[in-house]
Amino acid sequence: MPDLIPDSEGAGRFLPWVVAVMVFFAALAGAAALALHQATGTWHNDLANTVTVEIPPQNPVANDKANHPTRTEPDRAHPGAVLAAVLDALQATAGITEVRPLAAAEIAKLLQPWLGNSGVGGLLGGLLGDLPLPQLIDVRLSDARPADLALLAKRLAKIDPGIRIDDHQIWLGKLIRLSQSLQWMMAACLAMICFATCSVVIFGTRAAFAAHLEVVKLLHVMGARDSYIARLFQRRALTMGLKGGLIGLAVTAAALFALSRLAADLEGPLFGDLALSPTALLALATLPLLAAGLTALTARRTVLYELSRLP
Amino acid sequence: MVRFENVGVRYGVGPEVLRDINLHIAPGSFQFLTGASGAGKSSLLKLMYLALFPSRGRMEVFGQDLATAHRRDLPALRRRIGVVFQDFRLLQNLSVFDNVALPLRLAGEDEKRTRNNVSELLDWVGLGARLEDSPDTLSGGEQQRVAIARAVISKPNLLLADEPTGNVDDRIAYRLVRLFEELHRSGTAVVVATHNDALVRRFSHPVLTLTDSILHPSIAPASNGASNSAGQAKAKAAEAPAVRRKSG
Repeated sequence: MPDLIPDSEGAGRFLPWVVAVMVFFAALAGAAALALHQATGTWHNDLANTVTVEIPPQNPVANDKANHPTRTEPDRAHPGAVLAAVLDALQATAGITEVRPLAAAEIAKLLQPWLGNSGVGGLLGGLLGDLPLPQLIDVRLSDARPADLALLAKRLAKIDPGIRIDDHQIWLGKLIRLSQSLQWMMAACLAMICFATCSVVIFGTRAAFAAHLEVVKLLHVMGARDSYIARLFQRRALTMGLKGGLIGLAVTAAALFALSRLAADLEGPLFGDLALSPTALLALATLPLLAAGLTALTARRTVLYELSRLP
Repeated sequence: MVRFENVGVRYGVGPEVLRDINLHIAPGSFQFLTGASGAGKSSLLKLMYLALFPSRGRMEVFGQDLATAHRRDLPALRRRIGVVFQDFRLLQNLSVFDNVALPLRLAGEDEKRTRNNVSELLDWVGLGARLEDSPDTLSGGEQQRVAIARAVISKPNLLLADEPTGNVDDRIAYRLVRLFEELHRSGTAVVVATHNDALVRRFSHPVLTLTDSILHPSIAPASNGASNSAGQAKAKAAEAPAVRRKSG
């Protein structure tokens, strides 16, 4: 039997395009939220069980030895001896699984974002030895029983009071807070998009209801249940919502592909973490279904409300 | 079957378009409803097919008091009523067949049985060859037959016809009423609203007359089953048998 409520009439004609735009914005907001969530987790996992020990380039202890006669630790005139003593102390500490001093080239690479390739090339070419760069040591802690960092700091201070232990918590905390704020903003965007979509669907459904009022009244008088009449509009809205959702998803896929190509050119470690996982992509792919479902449900509720005003 | 007690109807805050209606339509009865334009015939029919509810008074349909009926109970009551509209109200995007099949499909009837019943009925009204045609390709008379077929396909307990003879000549009008009489003989109660007095006089059925929003007594033999308790003493004897036949 042909549809009692034809698709291509009234304000409903524009509904697929409105849904397409809404799905596009929702997918972008969703992609951003998912990427941030994913990246936050990665950053947290990467940094949660690592600390960096930083040995200062200067030798304040050696110059100050007269003032601190109790310090009889390695001679600061020989930085290699300090490094060796620190490594020994780290390896002797329980709860540390890996200790790795960073090579000069790795330290120079860390400076690359600030000095650029030429600057780093210059550093490696001869300036590096002259610059007061700290010695960095990557320390990986045991997942099960991490080392007591306060005790370790005391031990290292005996070697050199300038030695710092950076557990990244301050930086990580700020980053996570920023990321979470952005995720909340994305969620608010999604909520507003849902609200706008529902408003448009309500408007479109009311227009379609008014356009087909004679048919609705006839069905009503013939004994059609409200749910039957609502289903006619709901099915129509579902089809249009799905059509619009798929168009929106296709445009989003193209936009995300273009963005991923641009991000890949940056070659930054942070942007690498922003790549969406297959699960996140799958979640985005369900957006047309969600949009169609929301559209159909809103249309149904609207029609049931309008029908409740008939006798 | 359908009972009105002191029913009044007004639209919004306007004057009452129907006042103090007291009426009982018994099962298997046949009556004409007459009255001048604007007298309230359409409003009374709307009350009967539940497209309008009374502003006051009590109304009972198939034993169900509308004041206490739940909204979800009304579709089942409406399916027991067939309506022939003056303007036919055929759905132009459906074929003749689908228009007539609509009440059965709304009732969830088996598709095979629907197909057989609709084809048989359209054959009977002489439209067996036009099943797949669009209603707008039919003549006025043919459209009217489709509208009647749609109203009776589900074998309603009550058939209401709103000015079915308004757009046809006297010969066709006479045949239409004969058709309604055939349905009436099969047990369906029939109410035909018309302002064609000549046609009413050709048949010996009770007549309900609406004048100035008030329903006046039946002037035909009470054995036919309609009663109007607003009537005066002269109608009293005629009404009594119908009142005794109260039924849902």
